[in-house]
Amino acid sequence: MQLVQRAEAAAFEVVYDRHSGAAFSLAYRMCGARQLAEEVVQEAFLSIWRSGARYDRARGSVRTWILGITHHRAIDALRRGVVQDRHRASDEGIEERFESTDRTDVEVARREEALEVRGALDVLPDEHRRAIELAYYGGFTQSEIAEMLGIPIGTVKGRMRLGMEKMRDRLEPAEVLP
Amino acid sequence: MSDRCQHADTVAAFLLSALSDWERREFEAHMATCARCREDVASLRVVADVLPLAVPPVAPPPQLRDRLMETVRAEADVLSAAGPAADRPQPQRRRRFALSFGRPLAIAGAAAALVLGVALGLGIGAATNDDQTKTQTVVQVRTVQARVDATAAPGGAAVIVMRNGVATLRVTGLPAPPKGKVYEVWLLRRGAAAPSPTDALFSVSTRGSGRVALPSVVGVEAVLVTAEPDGGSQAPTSQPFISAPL
Repeated sequence: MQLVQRAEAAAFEVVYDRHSGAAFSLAYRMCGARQLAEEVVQEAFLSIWRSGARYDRARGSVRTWILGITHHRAIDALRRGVVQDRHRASDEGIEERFESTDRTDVEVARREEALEVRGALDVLPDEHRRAIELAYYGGFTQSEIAEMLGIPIGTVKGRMRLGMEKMRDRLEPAEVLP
Repeated sequence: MSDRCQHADTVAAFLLSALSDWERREFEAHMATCARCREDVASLRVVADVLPLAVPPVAPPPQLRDRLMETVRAEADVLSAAGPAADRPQPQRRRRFALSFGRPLAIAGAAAALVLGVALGLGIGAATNDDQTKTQTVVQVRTVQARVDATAAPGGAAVIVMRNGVATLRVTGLPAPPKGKVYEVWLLRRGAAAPSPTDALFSVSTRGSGRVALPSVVGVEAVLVTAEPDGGSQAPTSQPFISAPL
């Protein structure tokens, strides 16, 4: 029994090492503060460890699953009002960036994939990109976005939908890495 | 389009987490009865799934890994010490314990099994999906679950891990020691009337976990922990709130 637990702790460590970089990058982008990003990532991984959250293969890769949990945790933190200045967190760039020195094939492929997704976002009309970024990275609700931009909620919804459809059409041939 | 659902535009907001709680619940209820919206969600989900990848890479600080793994290992040890009974839903105290620590990382599916296999291959050397065989290891480990006073430390747990003859006390869910105090470990030796002080003084992380190496526990009947003034005491000044009979 105890050794099973130990083995699972070791397995968990591998999962952490493999996916914590992407999870932390996402949390940092959303929270705009190192300390809060650390808390979000810690909560996300501990919830995976403690709750025995089920990985559903049908829903995508392990990475997608972990990043989804991280995203939800960050949204929770943002909506709890932990971040005082969310406009700033979502609008400004990140001042500290650390490029990974890993040069493995998987790492290179992932960078290419990141570039591709970034490219698909960048070519969107400004208003579509802005709606998607405020929602996904900023953690704002559609009502908040409508208020911030001074447009009806229906317009916000339409922009998000059109933007996502354009991204899908551009990304569709690409295969998501495991 | 005639088959376009009136909720079609909510699909993107749902996938981007841009709905309030009640809007999300409402849409989920709608989706249960609308095949068109379910298809739309499935079709656009690929975009939501890759959005995390577009952010600038930022390396997590190493301390985050240390903190997290400290907690995970301590909880794995606590769960081990509790044995199979930890998964049983009674009595009351056990139930809380099982909820907190039960079934870590119960990943299903071949991809996850592969990850687990890799972990076992690197760390332990018995890469297999079979729980019975993956328990083989060369490290001699014994764990003793300690009793934690539920009034002094509600939700706290402690375990003594003896690995190859070296004993370590690991704690989780403990409050920080009161200001100006530190936790001190005491050894109650066989036949002794009072516990002996040790150099093992410790505090806990912001999440309530901590660990401290113990002196030799040969001839020791019980390990005790009290809160003492900074620097430790020669005789306990408070009641032990952790006790572990060896």
